[in-house]
Amino acid sequence: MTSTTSTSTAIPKLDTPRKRDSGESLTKLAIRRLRRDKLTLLAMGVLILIALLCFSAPLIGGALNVSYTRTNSNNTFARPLQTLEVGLNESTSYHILGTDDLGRDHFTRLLYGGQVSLSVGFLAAILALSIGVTAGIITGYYGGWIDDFINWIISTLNSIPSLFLLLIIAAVLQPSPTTLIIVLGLLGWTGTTRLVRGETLSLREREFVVSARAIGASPLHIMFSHILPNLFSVIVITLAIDIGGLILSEAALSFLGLGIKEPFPSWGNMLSKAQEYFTRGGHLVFFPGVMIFITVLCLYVIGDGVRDAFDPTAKD
Amino acid sequence: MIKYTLRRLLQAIPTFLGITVFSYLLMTAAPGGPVGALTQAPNISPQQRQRIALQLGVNDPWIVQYLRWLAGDDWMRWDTDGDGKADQSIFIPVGFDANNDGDYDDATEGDLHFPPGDNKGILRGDFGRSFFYNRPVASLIGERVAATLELGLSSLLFGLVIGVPIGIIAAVRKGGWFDNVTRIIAVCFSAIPIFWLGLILILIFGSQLGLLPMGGRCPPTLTGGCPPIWGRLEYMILPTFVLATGAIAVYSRYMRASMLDVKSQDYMRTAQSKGLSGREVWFKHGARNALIPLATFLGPAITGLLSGAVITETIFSWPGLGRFAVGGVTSQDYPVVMAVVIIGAISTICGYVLSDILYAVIDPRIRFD
Amino acid sequence: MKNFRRLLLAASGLAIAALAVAPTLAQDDGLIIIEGNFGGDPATFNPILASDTASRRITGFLFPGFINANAETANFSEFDPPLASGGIVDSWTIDESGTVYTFTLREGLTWSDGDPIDSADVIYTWNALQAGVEGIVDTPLSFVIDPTGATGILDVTAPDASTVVVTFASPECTSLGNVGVLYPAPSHVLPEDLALLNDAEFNLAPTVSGGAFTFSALNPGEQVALLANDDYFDAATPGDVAPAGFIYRVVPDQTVLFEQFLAGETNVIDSPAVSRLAELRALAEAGEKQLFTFPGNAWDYFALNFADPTNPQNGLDADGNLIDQGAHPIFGDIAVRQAIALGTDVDAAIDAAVFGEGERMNSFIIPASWAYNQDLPLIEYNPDAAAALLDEAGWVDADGDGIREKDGVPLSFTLYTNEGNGRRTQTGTLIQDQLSQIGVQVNFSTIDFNTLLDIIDSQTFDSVILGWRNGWPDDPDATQLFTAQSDVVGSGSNFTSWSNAEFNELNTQAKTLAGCDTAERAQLYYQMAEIFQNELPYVPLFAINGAYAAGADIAGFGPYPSLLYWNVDSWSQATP
Repeated sequence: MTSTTSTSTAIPKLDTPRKRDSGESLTKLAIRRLRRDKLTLLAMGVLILIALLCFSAPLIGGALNVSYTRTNSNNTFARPLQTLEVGLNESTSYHILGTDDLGRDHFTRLLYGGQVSLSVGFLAAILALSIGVTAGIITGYYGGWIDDFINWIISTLNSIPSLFLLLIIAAVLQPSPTTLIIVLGLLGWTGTTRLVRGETLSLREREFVVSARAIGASPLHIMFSHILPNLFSVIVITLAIDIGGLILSEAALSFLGLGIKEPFPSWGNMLSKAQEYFTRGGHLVFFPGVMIFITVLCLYVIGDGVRDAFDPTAKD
Repeated sequence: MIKYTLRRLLQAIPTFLGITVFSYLLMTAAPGGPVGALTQAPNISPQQRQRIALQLGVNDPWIVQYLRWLAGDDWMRWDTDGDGKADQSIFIPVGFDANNDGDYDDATEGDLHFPPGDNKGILRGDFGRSFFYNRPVASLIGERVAATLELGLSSLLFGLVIGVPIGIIAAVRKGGWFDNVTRIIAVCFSAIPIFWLGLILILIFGSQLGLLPMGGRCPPTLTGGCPPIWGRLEYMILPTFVLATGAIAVYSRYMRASMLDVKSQDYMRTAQSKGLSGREVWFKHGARNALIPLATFLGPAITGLLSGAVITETIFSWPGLGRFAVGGVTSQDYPVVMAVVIIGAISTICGYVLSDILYAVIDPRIRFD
Repeated sequence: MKNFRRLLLAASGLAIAALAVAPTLAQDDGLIIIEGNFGGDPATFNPILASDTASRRITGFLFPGFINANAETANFSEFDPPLASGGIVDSWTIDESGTVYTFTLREGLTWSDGDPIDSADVIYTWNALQAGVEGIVDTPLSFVIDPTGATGILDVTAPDASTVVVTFASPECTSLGNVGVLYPAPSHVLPEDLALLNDAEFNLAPTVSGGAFTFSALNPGEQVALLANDDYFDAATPGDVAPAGFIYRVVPDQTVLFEQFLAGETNVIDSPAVSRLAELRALAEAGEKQLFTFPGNAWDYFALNFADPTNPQNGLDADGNLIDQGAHPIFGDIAVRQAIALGTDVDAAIDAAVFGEGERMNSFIIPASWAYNQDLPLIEYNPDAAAALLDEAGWVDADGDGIREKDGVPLSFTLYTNEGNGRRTQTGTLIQDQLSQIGVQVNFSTIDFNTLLDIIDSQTFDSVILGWRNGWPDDPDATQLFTAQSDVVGSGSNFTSWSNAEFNELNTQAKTLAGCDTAERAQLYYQMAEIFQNELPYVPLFAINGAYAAGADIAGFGPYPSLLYWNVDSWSQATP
């Protein structure tokens, strides 16, 4: 099941490059490879465009003379490209993607929903990654009881099907974007930790770490100045794939009625709510679905592309 | 190996305890509470409501509730004079004293003398009673577990049968059209919200084309019988496919990566240089070794399937545990939620142990000590 | 590779085999009614224990009622087939005090196993309800018994096999509504020891029936199947219940539920989603489906808290005196309440939230009720009047932030509704937007239903959109909803803490009017509706139209409001 975090983290586990000679040169090589990877560049471009559009929603709404909250009972379920309605200030407004069941502009609503979905995905992934990387480096570097303890937490968390856990937690915390970020972040770090722990274990024995230790560098310094930079590719790959997975998780929770609640828009709740309007407003079902699909697709493609770029066994 | 398995299972005990404490704490922290869900009628009096809360024990501190669930309440409230009413107790009240006169037996005032505890607790194999159904949870679970197993196993199988060969072929022809096409399809399928995919498939194959039923596990019958699985395959196709899409994507990519890893190993080169045919090298030497890491995937696969079952079962009206769990969470039926969590946890833990054993079976180099 | 090919072949073979057997319903032995059930499994088939909708649907098919009501007039009635049938009471008399009702039971009624249905079966239920008060039987019906004996049913006795005497605490016009809980139960097969009733095998596999169907099988999470009971005593054609059986299929997703009905996988749908009613109308016009809509008995309201939400108090103290509960900082001002009512475009809400499938209300009485005052005008949407009213009352936007304030208190409040209810979410969103246009800030959020109930019961809220579903037959009595005695923190349905002496007095009069003539009672309710509209504890919203739909293959489908299956025994397969 890909709409939960459990499987998305499993993808990069094995594919992650393990035999690399020097972080520096590999990064340069990877960037060179990425520059030639048209598909990944395209995905990056599309993603940046989507993010830019979403986060300039207030400007766009102003330019089109529409509001994502203003209801209009005389103009519900307007089809896309309808432009002739009287808008906010008694002047023409442009409903590029039509209006929804309450007569609100669907396009700007989609953009605001995108803000929520993207932020939830991005911030939750960052949170998960920070916890995951920190825990991974610490367990990998120190081992011992810390390792055992964190492993126990991981196996405990992994033993409960993630959606069950999310269901229970979502029932406890009325999900606002903030709580959802925290919850998804706190549940999604285990895969990263395992990955980073493995990487750290091998990096710990490498010459540059051993020599740093020999000249008396503090463990903190070693962990963050020597080990962390070498985890760059792992971090990027995990981030891209996690964001995608989290956006899907949010949608799945919305379907079960436990995601972000109306009147906050998110792609997930717009999509699950639009279900009942299949025949009346097909566009309300189509666009949120497409936005989720394209965004997640781009993120996966980027994750893939970065992985290939950092793959030391690949030939140029 | 038996020793190893036993040790792994022993190690699972703290994990198991952690899960139950964590889940119980969370669940009881949820606002609202089960009594509200049970008493929505406007004519329920506050006394009735309080009585229900006391009977269910949901007013007790969470740790007492947890203990009761874990170890039962037959030792918390018992009867010494054999009149069927509890007269001794620790942690929990003997009855409901509506007017606080210290006497529990005046029914006209709304007092209530509870019967002795009869829950044995999960440690003695008692899942407790469902608040909503007012029946033992074990029998409710028993009625639904087969449906989930059926769907889960068929999806696992379907995912492997489709995913593994795709991964192998993609690795053999790395960079070829098959590799690229399957990769794109895999990524596309993983990027679609699963409830959305299910709904669209129902609309296409059920509503528009009329080829497949729109959900359910067995055809409707007046006798309530359900034909054997091969007699109702049409009901399995869509849910199995939807539940397996994620698995197919993951297995095929995983298998491809694993296969590429194996490809660079020495023995493959040796085999090739010995003049064995390509197909023989790939499938006899390559695939076998590439499958090894896939075995580790069984544990996560089980959690993935159970999570997926929640949504798939809802969309396809499949009478399994996933949907039961959603109902339990929304009505805050604690014993039901706990039972489902535990079953999920046990199957996952078993999945992890099983994958270790599989590992050993496939790869004779691995020995347990 | 060979193995792989074989597997692929097997897989594709399965798919092809499956495509050949597209689902069909076996229709060889008469009509099979299949209804999609959006809720969960029925919890029990015992009429004494059933509380959820799904359980009540099935027990309604398996067991007779106590008293008859006329399907057309929705009034309690003597046995008068076919419109007033299905109950075991033939007629009744009331003594002079108005508290003792003597019911004469119909002769010759039998359960499906031949055992007579008599007063013992009613007494069994009564005993179970009393045991319910003591917590021995988990029945939702014990509410008719008040442990203090102030209201409700005091006693039920059976002088002989065909007579049941019910004694009420006080003479009330709602008494007949309360005797409905005395469902006759097949006492000859139920455990004598009531302590065993909760776990009786009968509850999930009822062996005896007294309704149009008998129990066949329960597939948990999937369906309940019932078979025709040809011995049903009220069958339109004696000795023959026309449909072969009834199947209640669980379909948790609304969209799928509707599509299944469209495709004919199910042939009855109770309360189809309002968003799809237009579609059904078109299909009904084309003769492809049958549709029946009616003014509903479920209604939504926008409740405003009267009392200080920071210090919730009961309405009455132990001696029955009114308690001063303080005033809500905003809603305490009647001008604000009236402005909110004027500034809420309910028609727009009906359009958006229920696609026009609703009827506006002028008070707390549903438009379908005999007590509905047709002459009382609706509060018309008038934002300008609302703004003027607020200006006049001193609520002005002095600091120019778009929100009015008075004495430093901003005109801003929270509005809750239960999440998962699209209709109320729409209404709330609209109200939020509409009120913002008259300078009122509404912080609208949807929260979990159980949590919301907790908040409402604790009376710490500002305002809330929720709904009530009235019973059938409906009585407009307002004791539960709007009197000080029901204003109890922690429970009690008068959570807005509104109480009005005149309203109370009229309500008591209407409830205890000698003879209970509906025309006379209606006059009193007309006055109450007027007071309500002036005081506005609720901003009245709308009643949602009810709807039943059936496939064109069902002949005999002819519901009355709130009675989908009243004549189910004569439904048959339509000949095309």
